[in-house]
Amino acid sequence: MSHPVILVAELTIREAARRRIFLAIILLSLLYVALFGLGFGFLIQEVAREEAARPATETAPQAAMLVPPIMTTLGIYGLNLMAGGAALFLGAGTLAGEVASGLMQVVAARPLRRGDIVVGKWLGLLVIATIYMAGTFTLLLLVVWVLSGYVPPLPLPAVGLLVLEMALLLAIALLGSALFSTVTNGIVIFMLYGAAWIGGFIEQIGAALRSDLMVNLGIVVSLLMPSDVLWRAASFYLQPSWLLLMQNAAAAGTGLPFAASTPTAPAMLIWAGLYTVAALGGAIAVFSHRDL
Amino acid sequence: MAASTDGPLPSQVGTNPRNYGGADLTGQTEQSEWAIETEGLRKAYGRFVALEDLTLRVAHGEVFGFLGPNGAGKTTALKILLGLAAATSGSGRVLDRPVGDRAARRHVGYLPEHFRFPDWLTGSELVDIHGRLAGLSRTERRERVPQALATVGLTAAADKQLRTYSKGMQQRVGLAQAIVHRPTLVFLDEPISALDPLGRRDVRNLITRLRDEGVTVFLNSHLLSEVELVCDRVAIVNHGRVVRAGALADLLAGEHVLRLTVDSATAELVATLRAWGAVECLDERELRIVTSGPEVAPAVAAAVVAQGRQLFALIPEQHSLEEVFLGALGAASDAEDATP
Repeated sequence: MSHPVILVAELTIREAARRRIFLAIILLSLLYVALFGLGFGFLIQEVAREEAARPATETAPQAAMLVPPIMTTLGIYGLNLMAGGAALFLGAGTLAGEVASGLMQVVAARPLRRGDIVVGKWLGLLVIATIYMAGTFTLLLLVVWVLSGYVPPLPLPAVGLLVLEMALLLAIALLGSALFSTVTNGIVIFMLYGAAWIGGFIEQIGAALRSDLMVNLGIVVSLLMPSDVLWRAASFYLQPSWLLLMQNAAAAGTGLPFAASTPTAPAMLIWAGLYTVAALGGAIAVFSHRDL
Repeated sequence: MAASTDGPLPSQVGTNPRNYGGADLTGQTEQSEWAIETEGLRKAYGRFVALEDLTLRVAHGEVFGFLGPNGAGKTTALKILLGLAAATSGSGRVLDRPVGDRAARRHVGYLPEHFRFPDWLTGSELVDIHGRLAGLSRTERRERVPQALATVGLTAAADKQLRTYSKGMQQRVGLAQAIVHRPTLVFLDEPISALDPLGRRDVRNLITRLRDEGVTVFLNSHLLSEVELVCDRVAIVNHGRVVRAGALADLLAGEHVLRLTVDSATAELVATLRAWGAVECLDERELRIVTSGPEVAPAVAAAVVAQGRQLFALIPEQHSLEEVFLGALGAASDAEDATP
């Protein structure tokens, strides 16, 4: 007999497979990478043509060198936003929706802990989100490599951090789902997600403008909802060291607005990890004491 | 209130074969004689009280009917007994464990009133999953899943998706998941309301079969005629309280009434018939006598004929569960009106 957590996770994955969630995800992922590849290909051709037309004496930054890492980072950034949204969608209605529809009661009357149901759901959804994230990530880097020969310096820690972001978002979505109805929860967690995204921007711009107030505000938002923190930590590993050096040496405001040019503080990463565990623990505690 | 709810012990308790697999649960050598025992269970949602005072006992191996109008607190009571909702106060034991205990739930089956199953599953997949959730091994499931489906008559549809099932088939697959792990106690919440007469008969037969195997059945229903056909004991609940409880036979016994149709209900005849009980003249041909029991009927008939009257009909009136039910609800609401 398998552990109830594994059983619930397995059922969650099987359900996603049967309800064609996987199919939809794979198609959307292919569409995204295809669009990205098309744009990226055109841009590379265009830049190459301009470079060839330019007099050899000019010493402007080599656009042909800059395009692949910046576009790759931007492409993964788009993926990160979509995957984050998808994770919230998957998680938002899980517990609340199944209680409302009457699916949950028959399962909860079985000899399993409520906590096993919560963890099993989280694990199952995390497997789905990981497959989506890692699959699209790999496909996108493959397209970049084929078209330009560029490979980001440290793709593995980057994708690892993005999967951790999925784990965090799913834990928050499940906590909300244990607390609120599906619609309320959807609104609350998307607002949090959006706040974290804007918080990241504020911090980034604040650093560029050397505004301590903005930086601190951004940090507070990141502490409250550390999802964007994990993206920025990942983005650091996607950019080659020469690009990071260039950004850090240049005048304020020339860095990429959506990516980090310095490594994220380990304390912040530990905070994000603890946050995930606490959100999941909260979801277990709330769901265990809830009437169904 | 609580005192009146524990009706006299039904004589049939203990006569049913017991197949109580839960004895190992307690580690005690002796199991309690009650499958369910509750004391003053109460459930309030803020100021709204869904269950006022649930005090009842259900013996092992009996079919217990839990009756009441919609909104009386039947489903709330059942959810507390299953551990799906926590009681605000009071206590209870199910299979010798505190209500909601996980180990006890291994031996409990449940069919909710408003259930839904993932409709992309086939019937046998659903029952198999519930076998796994109940802790059955692969070997056990290989044997019991087809058995459970056969018991409810779904063998032919076992590999069809649930979305193709009719209402009655869904109800039956719901029953199959409730019995796949051979529970010792089964909770059925309105299992027959959605079914046609044939489906009702099938469910009734299944309940009878479960009882024959020693399974305790706790049946929530407002379909009194159905309950009358299968239950050993009933409790009538209204406004969150048990207002009447006891063996079905005792509840239905009450008073015995004979109804007579004669050619003419003369004063002389009425005076004679008073020997067997209170007589009421409904019109000049119809009479009603409240007697001590049905055994007096031949003597009453003989007396009518001895008076030279013609007897057209002599009918013992059957007390129906519906009358008991309406009587209990009426008495409860009268009492309520009396108390400010």
